[in-house]
Amino acid sequence: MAQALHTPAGHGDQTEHASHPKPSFYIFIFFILLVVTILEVFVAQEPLSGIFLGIGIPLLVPLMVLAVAKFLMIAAFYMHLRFDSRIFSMFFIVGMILATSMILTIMGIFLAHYREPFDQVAWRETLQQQSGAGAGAGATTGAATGGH
Amino acid sequence: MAATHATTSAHGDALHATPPTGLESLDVRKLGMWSFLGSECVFFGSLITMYFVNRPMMYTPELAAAHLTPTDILNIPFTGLLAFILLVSSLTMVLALSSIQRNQRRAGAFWLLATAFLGTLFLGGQAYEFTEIAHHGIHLQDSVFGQSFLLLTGFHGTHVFVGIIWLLACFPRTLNGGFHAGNYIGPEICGLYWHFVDVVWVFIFTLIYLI
Repeated sequence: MAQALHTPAGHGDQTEHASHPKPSFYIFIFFILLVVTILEVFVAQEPLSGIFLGIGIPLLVPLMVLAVAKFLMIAAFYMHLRFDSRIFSMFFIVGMILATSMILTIMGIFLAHYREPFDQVAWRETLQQQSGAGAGAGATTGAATGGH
Repeated sequence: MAATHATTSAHGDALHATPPTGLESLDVRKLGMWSFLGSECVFFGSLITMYFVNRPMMYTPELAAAHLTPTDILNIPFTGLLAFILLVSSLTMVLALSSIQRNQRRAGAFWLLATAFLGTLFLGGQAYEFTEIAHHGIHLQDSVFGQSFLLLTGFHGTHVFVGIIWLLACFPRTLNGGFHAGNYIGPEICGLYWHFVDVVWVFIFTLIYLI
């Protein structure tokens, strides 16, 4: 295997070079990424965030869709996965799958203790409850919570 | 099989008898970088997990008294600007590689330098942000939010710093014609790393700042 995956002599891949897009294409992709980024900021703030929450869609959903769209465009066109061997994609995808599985598994375990880790409203309520408890119990509770 | 064996015997070298697998054209350096980036996904995934696991415990009496969550003190428009800077740096990086592939070494060197400059600008912005949250009483040593947030964004910043060093290392060789249409694997691998750093920021920006 190691012998088979040798470094091609004089790597430069003139043939590969011919298949690469022109700079204008990269600039076009940049403007799409820019629009998606601006959209992300707007979705996260009022009034759009209120609209999503109003119809029962957590902000995590639209924001992750936009983030994954950006990721796919960067990986496919800027990192050239679209034009390169699929073996490179496989190495990256395996890492992504492992990372996502780890996040979901550990978050699944901790969801038993904290119902809505991605929900700002629930988070705010929890912190306010802790604040009330802190005020009641005095400095001892504050020190204990801060010491986690 | 018999034919293969016969060839092996004729050449006296088992490797010559290996049938083509289609992997011969792959560059091991590029494959190494992709496997490294795959492992980096797990690394940053663990840091993001750590942030969310700690999120319920990010209580500080001062913030709670003001009815604020820790992320309320983060400056979203400013961080949006940092995201924009990294996005532009991804464009300049891919333009650098494209120029080198077209034997435009001066343009390639210019875009590499521009990428390094934008990376430095990003790091400056991050240093400013860390100073700002320190003014709100969020520090590495005395708050769960400080530990989680600064560890995650700090590690990302470290990756940006390594990328800048790498870009600056590619710059003189590109200018001297060391990288050209016949040899551009160095800036290509550097570019993969740089774009990955940008991709990580895409998720950090969404998960930590916007949600």
